[in-house]
Amino acid sequence: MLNVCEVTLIRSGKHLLDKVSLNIKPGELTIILGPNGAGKSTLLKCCSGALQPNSGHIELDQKPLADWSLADLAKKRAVLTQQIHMPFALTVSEVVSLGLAPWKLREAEAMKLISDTLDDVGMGNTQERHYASLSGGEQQRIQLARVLVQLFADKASKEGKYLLLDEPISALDLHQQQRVLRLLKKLAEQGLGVFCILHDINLASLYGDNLVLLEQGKVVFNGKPEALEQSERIETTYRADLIRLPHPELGLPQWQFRQ
Amino acid sequence: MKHTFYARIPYPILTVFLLIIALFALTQGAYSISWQKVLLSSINDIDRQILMTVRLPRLLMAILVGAALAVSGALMQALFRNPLADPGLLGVSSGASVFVGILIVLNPIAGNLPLWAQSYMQSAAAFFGAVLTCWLIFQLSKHKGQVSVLHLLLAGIAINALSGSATGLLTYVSNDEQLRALTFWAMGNLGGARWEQVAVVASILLPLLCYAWRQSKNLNLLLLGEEEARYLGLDVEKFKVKLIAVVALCVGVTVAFTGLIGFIGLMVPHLVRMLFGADNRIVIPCSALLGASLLTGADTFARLLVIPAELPVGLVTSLLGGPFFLWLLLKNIRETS
Repeated sequence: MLNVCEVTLIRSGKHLLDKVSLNIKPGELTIILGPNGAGKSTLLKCCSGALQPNSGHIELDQKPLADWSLADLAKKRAVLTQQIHMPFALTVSEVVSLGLAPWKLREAEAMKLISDTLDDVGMGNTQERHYASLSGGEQQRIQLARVLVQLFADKASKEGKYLLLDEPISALDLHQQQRVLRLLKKLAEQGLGVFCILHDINLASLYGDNLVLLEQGKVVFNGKPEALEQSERIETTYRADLIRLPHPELGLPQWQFRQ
Repeated sequence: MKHTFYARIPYPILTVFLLIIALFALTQGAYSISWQKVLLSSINDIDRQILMTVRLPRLLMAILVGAALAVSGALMQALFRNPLADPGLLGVSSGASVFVGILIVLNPIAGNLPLWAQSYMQSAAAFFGAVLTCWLIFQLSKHKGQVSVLHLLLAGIAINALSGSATGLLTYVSNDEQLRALTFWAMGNLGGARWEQVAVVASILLPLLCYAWRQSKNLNLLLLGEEEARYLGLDVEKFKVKLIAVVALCVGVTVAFTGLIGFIGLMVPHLVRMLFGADNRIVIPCSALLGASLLTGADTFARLLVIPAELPVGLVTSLLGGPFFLWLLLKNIRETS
């Protein structure tokens, strides 16, 4: 379990995170929501070990995150940040194979894993193409494939590993959004702990096992999507004029603009 | 597409290319030796004398220096995540040269030491200057955690200007003998290469080149960005310090022994990437081979053009590299805008 307890992060006098507590459990897709500047990406950086909180503590499998070595951490969790620019003309398979850096794999195994994972994200048969020649959405899925092989390379099991994603579908079309979210849901069911920042509250409600809503560095909601059915939480946090209605098939809460 | 025929076999192609150029360099000059005889090693005593005391050490020096300059260019480009990074353009070489100049002009005992000790001392001074400028560039070009091209090139201009005036000052205060030593050295010349110097240079550069090759996987991780490389298990801060040390040593040693030879570090890795792809596991060793070939070729050309005199090799590489840099800069601007 990735255990975040009372984490506070202060930068230049501003509380970017204020006593944030949450748990990312294996087998669950936890979705982080919140308006711009609420501290979502900052929280992701704390959970991945890139930023040290001023107070509070983060534990990964009962061991403080700061005590993990970089090499062990790289085998335990993979992190996808927003928009990655590559300065030189690497091919798609070269970019994806960077995710195998923490592992020692035979060439044939590596190629098989890379091509299978590219199929998973809908980018099969693009191995030889140049990364820079792809569209933003395609590049985003290539980077997703890279963090996935980082976890899949462990033949032992996918269980007890963590995936931390910062808006992995921001540049994708509808078909690809659905494909990626279904993939994340499936991975969670297979035992992965998924931490995913999203902007779309409707998709979050539809796919998330657990939603965490941030506002100005504080957790203002943490629970199942169903719990938002009877609450004004989304409307007040996002300060938007919305109509709340249940999903026609699943009954989960959905929100529409009031124009 | 990338996987054309020649992209599959980079090493044989580049090795044969280097061997041909090396043979050309050994046989051509004010006194030419038949290459058939060299290949069959049926040469007479005069030929052997010329080969062993003049041409062979010079060839080996060109190979070592060319490889080191090209590889340090490739390392800097990975470090700064920018294809325009080059030790010459960013002022690392000229920063190193100032410290060698200071050593020549202001150190009264240096002249009395044996040649190898002088060589090591000059290398140490150049290394110190190179580390200092690398650090300066990093501080000046960092902008919100990212290295911007604009800041990078501006830092280079500023450092080159500063070094230029410092060198000018040194020539002003030096006496006749020091002035001769200074100008002769600063021109960028492989002509003075002797076996002792080749040994010193090889003892420093060969381990560095091996280290760079072994780190090529980690260099690839840096291409993703520092944060992402850390997530993949690389201790980025430590790695950057090591890389800077390697670049500074490579540049320092080459500057100390051969003066300023520009643009090899810019041209060679770029050509390698165009021909064989951007994977550093290929780029590093191929840059070493192609850099060695290019500098050997440029040096031979510099010897042959105005027989019996010779041009400084730095002049030849700059003549090639200047237009290349302009083309690369324009291409870069067009791609980013």
